[in-house]
Amino acid sequence: MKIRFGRGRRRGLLTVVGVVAVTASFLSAGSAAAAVAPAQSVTAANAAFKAPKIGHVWTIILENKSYESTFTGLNQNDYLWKTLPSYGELLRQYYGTGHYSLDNYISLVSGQAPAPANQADCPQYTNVAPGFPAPDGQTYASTGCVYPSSVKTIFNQLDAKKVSWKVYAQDMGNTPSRENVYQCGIPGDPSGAGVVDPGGATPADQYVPKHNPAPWFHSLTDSAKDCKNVVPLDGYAATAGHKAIPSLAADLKSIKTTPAFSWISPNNCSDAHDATCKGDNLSGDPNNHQGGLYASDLFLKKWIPTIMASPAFQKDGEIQVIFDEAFPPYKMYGNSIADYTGNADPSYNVPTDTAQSVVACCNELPGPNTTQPGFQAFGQDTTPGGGITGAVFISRFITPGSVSDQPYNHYSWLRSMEDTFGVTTGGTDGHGHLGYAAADGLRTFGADIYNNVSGQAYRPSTSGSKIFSATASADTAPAVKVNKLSIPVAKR
Amino acid sequence: MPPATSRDVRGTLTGFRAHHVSPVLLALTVGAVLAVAGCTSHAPAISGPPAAGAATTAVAVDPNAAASAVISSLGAVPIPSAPETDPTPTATPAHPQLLAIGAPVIAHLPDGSALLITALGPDQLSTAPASGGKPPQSTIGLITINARVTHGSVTLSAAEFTSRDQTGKLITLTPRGPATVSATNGRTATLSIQGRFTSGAAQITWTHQKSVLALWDFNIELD
Repeated sequence: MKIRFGRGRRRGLLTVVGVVAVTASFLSAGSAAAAVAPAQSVTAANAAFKAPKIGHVWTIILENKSYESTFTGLNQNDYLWKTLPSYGELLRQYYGTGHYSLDNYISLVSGQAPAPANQADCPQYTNVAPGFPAPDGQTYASTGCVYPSSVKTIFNQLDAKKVSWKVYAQDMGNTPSRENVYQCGIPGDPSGAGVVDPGGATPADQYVPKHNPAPWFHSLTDSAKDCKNVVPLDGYAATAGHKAIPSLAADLKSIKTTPAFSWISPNNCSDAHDATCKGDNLSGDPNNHQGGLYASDLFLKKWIPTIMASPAFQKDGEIQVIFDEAFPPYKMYGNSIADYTGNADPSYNVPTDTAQSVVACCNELPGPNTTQPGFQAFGQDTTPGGGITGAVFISRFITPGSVSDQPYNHYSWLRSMEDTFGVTTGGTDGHGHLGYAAADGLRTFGADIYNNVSGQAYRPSTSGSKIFSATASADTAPAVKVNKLSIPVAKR
Repeated sequence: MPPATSRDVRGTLTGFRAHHVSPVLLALTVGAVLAVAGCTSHAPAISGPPAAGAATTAVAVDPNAAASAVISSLGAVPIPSAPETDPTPTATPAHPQLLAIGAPVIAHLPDGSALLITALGPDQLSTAPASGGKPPQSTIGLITINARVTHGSVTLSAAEFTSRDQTGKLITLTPRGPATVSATNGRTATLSIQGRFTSGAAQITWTHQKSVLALWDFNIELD
């Protein structure tokens, strides 16, 4: 199967709309007191959708949870499950692109498809080989996990556009011998034999390189300028030859110091990865090491209000809480498309809880390095995809309580961010999209997400107050069902 | 489901207190931002805040003034407060509690005793060798039960704790150390039990004198 690339696709990208724009105009249309009359169902023809000018984005990436684990109450993570969707939008069909973790991070920032070493979370930190270009903006990566400098990332694209960015990695540099805080958090030199087993948290340092998107690209790690943008979340004291590094909290105090794009990697506890944390979980109780979604809720309770209180967020910001991949359990939203029983390895020939499952969305392709981006994880016969994780977005351009059933995946995220920040040249398609983010017809976050284009602030509302349906193609307008009035906040 | 409480942004915005914006400056700022945004008279205030990295006249004066102008025009986006710490739930034989692993619960037992109990873990004790570079599919995990007795005396047995995975499959638990522990008022009893857990989700159920009192659920991450 060959992905089609070409110019002249852009028109199709921007035509997701319809009723949403109409509804959004009702929502805010200059009338502060305007409220949307509830309707059973509204449908309208597609129209040109002009996305609002998001000026600041914070992407917080969490770990290894299915949609059901996170958003159905199974783990009692009320803040992410219940509170945040009432302030923003729940994306019920946001997909990972592979298993296990690292390949998802790489796909997110570069559009590169999973490869064996990064699927295995890079057991040995070595350079990719052979590393030469493959079709569709891909790279042949039979072994290794650090891509050559020819492989670009969203961060390189932002550099070219002179758009500010930072990667904030919690705990990075806590134990300087484990990772180089001044070189993008790399765990060592990837040349030759590299570094064996670069992952794993410790009680004092729960940073893990595999959850930081930067150490895997020479296009970043070889640039001192870029590595200055890969910083510890809580800042870093000055050391010999190096100035102190400000924290995220400090950067948020002024629009001037707030990067336009902020990637936030919590540590292996706060990102919900470790069920029992090796170290602190932000509870304030040194004896409490509970991890999982309990710990990520603690992280989000600390940082979401802090970001939302910042001038940059209030002006034109968007917070995205995403996950890298889905893990069991999943009944409704699974990870596999079939229970094939003819595998040579009998451990794969087991029934799995995939009755209604789907593995991938958005016409995801496996890429040149593996036939199974899903890595046959959990005994499943996975083809492309990392399962449905769900996501939550919050912005003044998103009506609180919205829900979207439109499928998106990590490549959609990359393409959306490229478009958001005005990257319109270069890339794989000549329009600024890297790797599989350039796939024909790949949908970007559209009218179902930015459903309040005026930016009028609304009061929080029960999740599901507005539900946007999935559509078959990017050219089709999403229908929206409005179940509850949106009420504007009082103005100053 | 009511949303969590939100606090009024006014006066609490990071960095805003330090920047008093006079009405005149505010008006100029709003005008400047509007002009940059290219808003028409019928457009709802600032329909297009400056794009990323774009400088405005307002920004040149005060970087945060542009945000103030947006808030004045379109309102402040409500901020979800972190909810207050949940009160510790109480479990009785007639009213068991479902909990996340690590969460404490006050348990009142039929004999009148009371305790604050929680289950912690599972702590990974061993890792099966990975095959084909893949993370292990299962591990031996240790569950630790901590029980601080607040009234009377309590004896806990490892047999009171059972575990199942998300498919309902029973996970065999065995004591690691004493199979039975006891404590009296003011003391803490600690019971350790272990089992083999597979990637996914599972639960620990505490059944005391044939009554379920608490169930803790958790995920097992082995990648």
